Amino acid sequence: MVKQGVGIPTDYKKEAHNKFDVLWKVKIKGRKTLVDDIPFHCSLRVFDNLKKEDIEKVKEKIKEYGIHTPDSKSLHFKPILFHSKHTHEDYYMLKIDGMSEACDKFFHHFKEGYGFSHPKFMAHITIDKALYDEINKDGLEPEEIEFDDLTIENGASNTIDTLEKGLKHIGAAIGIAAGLAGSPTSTTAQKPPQQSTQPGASQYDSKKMLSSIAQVESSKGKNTQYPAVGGIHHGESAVGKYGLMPNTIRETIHMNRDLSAKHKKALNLKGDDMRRYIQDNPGLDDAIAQKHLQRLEHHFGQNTSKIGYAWFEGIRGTYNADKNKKDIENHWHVKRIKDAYSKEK
Amino acid sequence: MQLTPNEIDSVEDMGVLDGNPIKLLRTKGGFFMAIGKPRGKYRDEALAAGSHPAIVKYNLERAYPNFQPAMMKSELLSDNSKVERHSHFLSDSLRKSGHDVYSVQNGDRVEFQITKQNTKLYSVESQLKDGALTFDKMKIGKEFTRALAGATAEKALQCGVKIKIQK
Repeated sequence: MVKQGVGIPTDYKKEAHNKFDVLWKVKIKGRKTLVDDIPFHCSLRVFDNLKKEDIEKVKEKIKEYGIHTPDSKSLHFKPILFHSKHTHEDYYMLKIDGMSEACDKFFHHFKEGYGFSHPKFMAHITIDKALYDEINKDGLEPEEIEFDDLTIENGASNTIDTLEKGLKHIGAAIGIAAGLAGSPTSTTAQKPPQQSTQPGASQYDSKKMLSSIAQVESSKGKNTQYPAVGGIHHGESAVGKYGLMPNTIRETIHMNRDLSAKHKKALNLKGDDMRRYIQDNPGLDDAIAQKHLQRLEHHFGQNTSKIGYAWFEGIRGTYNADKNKKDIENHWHVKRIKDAYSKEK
Repeated sequence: MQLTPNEIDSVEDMGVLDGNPIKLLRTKGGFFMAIGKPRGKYRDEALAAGSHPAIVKYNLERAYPNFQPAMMKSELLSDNSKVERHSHFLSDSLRKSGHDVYSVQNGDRVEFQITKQNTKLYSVESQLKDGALTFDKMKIGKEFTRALAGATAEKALQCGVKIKIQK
């Protein structure tokens, strides 16, 4: 078995001790430390130096962009061996997909004038060979990763400011808000800015939403013949009562511990094989749709329009549409979902 | 399906379903059936069938999640075989005509069975050795080639081994 701390280049350790870093400390599979006194962490941006006024600027931008501690359940983690063109060293990493666009914005704002910068923000956690091997062997559930509060560090483990104490992650905030919706002590004011809630959202019902989606996609399972879709879907067709794309099915299974334990083999299935697998496992379609809807609710709150749009265009597509001020209310799929939702009892 | 007593090779206890005993019946032709009374029925009926006792148990457990197998009672079921269904790799037309693909693993031995209406059509033997799922001979109808390839790949992935065909 490989010892902990093996596979961390010396330059990395030196840099971790000498530079400023805006980061989340992370616990992976119960382990907190990468090597020596360097904790596992996910950096937003490493700075050569941060003066007092720079720290204020960092805090201001964190607030402005609405950066919050991510919920690991909504992220994808992939162990990779990264070769840096900058240091010419190899690094064991957990690459993170699905981080909020606010992180990109922050990174780009501070890209110039604060020391070396990679061309773009690549969310990752540097790990050692032992953990890299363990993850490749046993896998990693998002629940096994815990993000701590966002902090500014002046050298490893020397926290000079905690930026986000209290609000753990968006999911928790939305959960509380959803739980209290309609109650006089609603915590709506604590919601992060990108989580919009429509008028009447207190009447939002996930079951009703799921039923509306099934109505629009397949007349509740009566018509499950879908055309092939190009682009990122590589000619695959949607599947089942909820018109889920195989990509979404694989992603949802991968992100959910229970589904992954029972249906790991589906992660390798494509096209018709996936469709037939779903057919052979009654109830799986419903379970995946429910989990996917929960994920969309996590991103877009109880906004039926955004959820309807995201079901068709994906999470990133919805964020992009929002950013580009696209009229999603008049998107044909959104209109049909909203119409079906208004008719659902 | 009508069976006469002289067509039956053996009958064994298989377990209990909703308080009713389930028997595993083996025909002289090597066909297996789980017989018992499901909830709300007054007569015994065939609840699951297959070309291997472990496949019958697998199908019975899927159709009747309340089924409780008898611990090591049945000689036929006591081999701890692990069954998986790989029928999603079959074409829609083959599935419609009642075909299935199963793998039955017992220790290092993995048998792939292609069945029609629960009767074995083809059997392909393989062995887990030296980090590979190793095949010797493969004699199957060409219409099943893709499904068998899918099933073997799925099984090999699950076991974390490569596929090897001995010449």
